Amino acid sequence: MKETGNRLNYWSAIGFLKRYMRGYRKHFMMFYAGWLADSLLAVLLPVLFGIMIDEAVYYRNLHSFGAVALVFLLCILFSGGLYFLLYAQHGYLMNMFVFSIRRDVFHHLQKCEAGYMANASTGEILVLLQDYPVQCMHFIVRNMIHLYNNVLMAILYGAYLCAVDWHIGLTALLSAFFSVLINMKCRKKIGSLGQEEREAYGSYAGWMYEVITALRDIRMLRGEGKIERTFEKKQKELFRIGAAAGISSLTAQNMIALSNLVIRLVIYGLAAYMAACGKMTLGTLTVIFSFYTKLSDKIAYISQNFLDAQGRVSYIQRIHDFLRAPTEPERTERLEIREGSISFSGVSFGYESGEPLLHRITLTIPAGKHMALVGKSGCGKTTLARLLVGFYRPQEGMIAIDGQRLDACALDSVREEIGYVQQDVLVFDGSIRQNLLMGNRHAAEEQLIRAYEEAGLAPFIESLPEGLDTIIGSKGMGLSGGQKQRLAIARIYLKNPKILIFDEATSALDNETENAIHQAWRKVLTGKTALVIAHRQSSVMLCDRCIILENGQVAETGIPARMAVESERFRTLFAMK
Amino acid sequence: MQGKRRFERWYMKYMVKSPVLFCVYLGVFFGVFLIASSVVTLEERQTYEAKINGEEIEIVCGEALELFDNRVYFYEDRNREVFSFAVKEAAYSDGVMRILLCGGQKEVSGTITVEIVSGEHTLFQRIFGKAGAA
Repeated sequence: MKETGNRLNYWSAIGFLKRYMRGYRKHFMMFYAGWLADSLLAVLLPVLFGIMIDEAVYYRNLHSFGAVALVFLLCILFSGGLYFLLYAQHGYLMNMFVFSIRRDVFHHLQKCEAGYMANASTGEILVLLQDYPVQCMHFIVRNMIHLYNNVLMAILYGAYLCAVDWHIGLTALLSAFFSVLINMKCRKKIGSLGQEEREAYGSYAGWMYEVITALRDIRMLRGEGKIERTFEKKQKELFRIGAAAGISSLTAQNMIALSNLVIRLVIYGLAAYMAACGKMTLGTLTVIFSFYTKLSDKIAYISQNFLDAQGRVSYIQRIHDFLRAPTEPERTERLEIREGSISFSGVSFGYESGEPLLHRITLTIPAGKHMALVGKSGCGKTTLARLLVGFYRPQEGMIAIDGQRLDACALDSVREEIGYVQQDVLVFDGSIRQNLLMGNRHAAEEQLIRAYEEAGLAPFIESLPEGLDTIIGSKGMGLSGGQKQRLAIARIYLKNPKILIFDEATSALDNETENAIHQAWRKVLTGKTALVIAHRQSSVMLCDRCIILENGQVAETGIPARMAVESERFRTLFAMK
Repeated sequence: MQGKRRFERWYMKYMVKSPVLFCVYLGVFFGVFLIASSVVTLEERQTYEAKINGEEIEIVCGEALELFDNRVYFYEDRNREVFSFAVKEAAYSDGVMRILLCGGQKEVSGTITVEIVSGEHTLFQRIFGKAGAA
């Protein structure tokens, strides 16, 4: 996935996430207030405990001890209830905040330019949609809210230690100094290793997705061994990078921990000496031990947090970059088809810049005529069809329908007017009715029935106990290739577009099924303009004219029946003797 | 099932979506804590170096010391034992405060540290005013 030049840092990542936080401001404020209250309690409790110890141990003042103990208990009970409320907010935010980011990403995915999506890995997009928004939430909770609270608490602990004795306070602050120093030294390396780890994981997820979807092909090609070796290689690579990142991070943490340990020994020694000399009570000593332990934990947490933040910023960066990926243009002019004539004028297009696949294609499909488009695999037949529905834009030339330039029309209006049937028919997990309604959401029951009858699905549907409400797809009944094609034809009936494109729709069917589908085609093609991309002569013979594409250009056109006799190219393409 | 759904809706409405319960909870806690920490009182003690001879303690000080509670604490080493005695009599003259203890005291003699209860302060003052110290 491409990255934009706009690199996010900690602050700009917060700026990016602010728009999503705005909708949940109230909840984030409650969440923060709760954690702040919890943090303040964490400072208060050891002080209360210290007072209890002093009153009980030195002065045997059990009345005071009991009273303070009750206040201590009150704080503990409050803390328990507070956690319950906090985690309720956390659960809500985790779902809703994450959902709002996912919704944006998904919405953008629907609008992304086909060219951009063609280069994107499915696995990476899945990870972007599912995992990265969760990391955004973790960033806010751990790298913002917890970080701010921990900094506040570190300041309070440090201030208390300084108030007790400036020697102890200064020594405690040394641990903060060393932590910051170690962080600055290790940050770059840890950051770049973390970035490498995330990229490797994204690439691995993409590869894994493609392997899982192609398992049958792998078995047919007897490629299990090679795939396993590649799997092990990728796992080792992930492990290597993960280990390097982990070692770097652990080294930094251990260095911080070691410096903290030395400072802790100094502080404990100093405090113990002061207590032994009577300059400090046991209660104060307890508080110092507790506060310093917490202070060093906070400093370690803040250091680790700083490193984690860099990692999470890279996830936010990916979401940020994806949301800036080019989308299909928005136009206001609506395509209105009166007759359905299509013209390509000097159209050139290539997927890679500098290597045109289609070179100055000029052809016209008159309204109501059926044009077959044939040629060797990779000559650009499907590309031409995709240009017609606006998935790509020609680099040169113009496409017009009834004289209206396609590049001036809103793409949703273009797709409303064109029916596209491919070899792989999309079957949603749902009922037959729901799948048919994809053609026309507002179709009445009678229209549905007429559509599936015309498509030749009546015997199949009427044989099912639940009829149109039968569940199909991965969670229900599977459909054969022919049934799927008939489903696609029924959708076309319901949609009733003026222009139809059949893109190798019957390539995977046996001859008998194909013939039956062709019967259904004849009905649906009546009065419509059609572009039929085919590798089979039987599909071509249904059409009024045939175009042969070769080397990115129109090599030949003619009437199919005549070309079958007179055209060497035609006869070679269809292996006619 | 109906009951479960009703509970789920109630939970979402009052525990999650509405800030009222949360704010009330925080407010009640802070209120109760403020009241409790203002009601709970602790002794405020002043520390002096002194000499003890039998039942009499002599403290050299610039002015008369006020005994809020007729009780003093004293010790040689606080971490060993702190003694607490009721005061029979206290008098100030010539820059020396003399305190006579009730009951026989024979365990300590010589230089000691005395803590006199000079007043009371609330737990709130002890925590936020004195960082927990007496």
